[in-house]
Amino acid sequence: MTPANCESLAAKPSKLLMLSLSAVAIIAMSGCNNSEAPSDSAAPKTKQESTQTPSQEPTQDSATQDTQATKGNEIRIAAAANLSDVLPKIIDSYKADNQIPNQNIDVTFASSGKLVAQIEAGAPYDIFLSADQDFPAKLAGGMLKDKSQPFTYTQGQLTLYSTKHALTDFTPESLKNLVTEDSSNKFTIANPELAPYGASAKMYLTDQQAYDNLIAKKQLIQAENIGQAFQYAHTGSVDYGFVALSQVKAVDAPTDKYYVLDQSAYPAILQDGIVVKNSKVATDFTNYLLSKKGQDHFAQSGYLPLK
Amino acid sequence: MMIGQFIAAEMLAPIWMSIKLAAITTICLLIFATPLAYWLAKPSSTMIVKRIKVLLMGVIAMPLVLPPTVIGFYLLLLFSPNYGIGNWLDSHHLSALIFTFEGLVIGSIVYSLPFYIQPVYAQCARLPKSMLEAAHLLEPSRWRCFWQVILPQVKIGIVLGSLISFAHTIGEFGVVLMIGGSIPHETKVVSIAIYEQVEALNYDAAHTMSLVLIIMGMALVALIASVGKKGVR
Repeated sequence: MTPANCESLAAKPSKLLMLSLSAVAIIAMSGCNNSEAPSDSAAPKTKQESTQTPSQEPTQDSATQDTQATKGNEIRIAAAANLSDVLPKIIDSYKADNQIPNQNIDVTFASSGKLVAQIEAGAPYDIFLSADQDFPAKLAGGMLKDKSQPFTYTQGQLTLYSTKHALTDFTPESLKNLVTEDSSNKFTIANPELAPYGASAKMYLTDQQAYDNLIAKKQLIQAENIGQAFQYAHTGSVDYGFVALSQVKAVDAPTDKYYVLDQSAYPAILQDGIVVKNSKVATDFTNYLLSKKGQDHFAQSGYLPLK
Repeated sequence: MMIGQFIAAEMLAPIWMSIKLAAITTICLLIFATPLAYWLAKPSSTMIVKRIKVLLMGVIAMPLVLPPTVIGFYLLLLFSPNYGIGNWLDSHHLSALIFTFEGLVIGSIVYSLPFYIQPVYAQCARLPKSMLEAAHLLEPSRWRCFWQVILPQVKIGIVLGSLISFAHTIGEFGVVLMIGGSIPHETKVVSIAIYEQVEALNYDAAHTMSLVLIIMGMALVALIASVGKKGVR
């Protein structure tokens, strides 16, 4: 700002007043919008206190609502990115089955490693649904020692996906040839250190002695999480992507665009969850996930049933 | 010490990638954006040209207000093989721009363009009109006029713009996250490397790389301040 601008502002106090009033108005409006949650849930989120009827607060915590920053029975779930399509459906049917359409369940999707780091740093999540077993075990051995135990809620399937090349009649042999042959094909996996599907994909590639080769030839793109890996594959930015079957099913991809890897080709992707902050709703929801209804949703979305 | 050496080698590569990216971006801006800034600052005769210049200044200044993820997102779409430039490149069997160093350079040029143009534009705008007219009268060749009369006078602006756009490109994150793909020795710049180390809870590596950046940043800021002082008469 040049001195001329400053002087013109000072010389017109009404102009300065208008500017500050509009700045305050903008800040106030953005403050109101902050209560919006980053979830895909179809249920309305920003409910005012006056519209909630007593029958929609089933928890006994209603007396101690002031001890939490948000309303007493709202829960937040930290979920692995591969659940981005199945979890909102489960939440909707949970609310429908228990007739609690105003129950706030907010979900944040990210790579499991990032979520663990955030939870350890005190992020206010109630339930953590990981894509592997190591990250919840880490919490159970650390900050949640003696407070909470991990539970396995589903098993994922690693899938090869391509919108640029047909994958008809693919066999384990053709997959092995694909990753080891000398070509200019670009592959993407999720970051193996943070995303369990990426770790499984890396282990598969290492077993075929293809990992170091692809890295050296700069043909392996490391996506931030499985969601970004899927986006790269789906938009054709890479030739092939190692993604979760649930993501492929969510976009109704035709069968010649994906190939589900043999379960023996990679370490089983058992997905564990853990309750971080106990509450009636958190326990209820966790039980629903493991119930037949919840498991049906998982089965429909491309996950394997729990043994 | 072995582990220390290994970690140092792992961290040197992203730091070098960032410096390389920033240097090449700054050189491209020097070559292409300097004449543009001069043209924008030159007083023009017709109203249409004046309006075009104002519009162009607005468009160039967009990366100042847009979040870098927006720039990265649209570059991602532009480079993707399904539409835009990516489509054209793909059909001519040229290598794609996405996930390559060249793609990052283009993204950085878009991202740092306003940071280079604004100081140079400001310096060019300070040139007295009488001097410009005298120069055009005495030197018929427009190129020699630009090279030997205008450029030495806007030297300070150019140096300032280069330093600022260099520093800004070192700090680039959102755009690289979208179109980079984190390929070691190709697109894994230090901002991405630090982010990944923090996510993986390797705080030692994150601390070290951040320290290098902080020292580099302080040196650049000190340089910018001292050059800026010289520019003020």
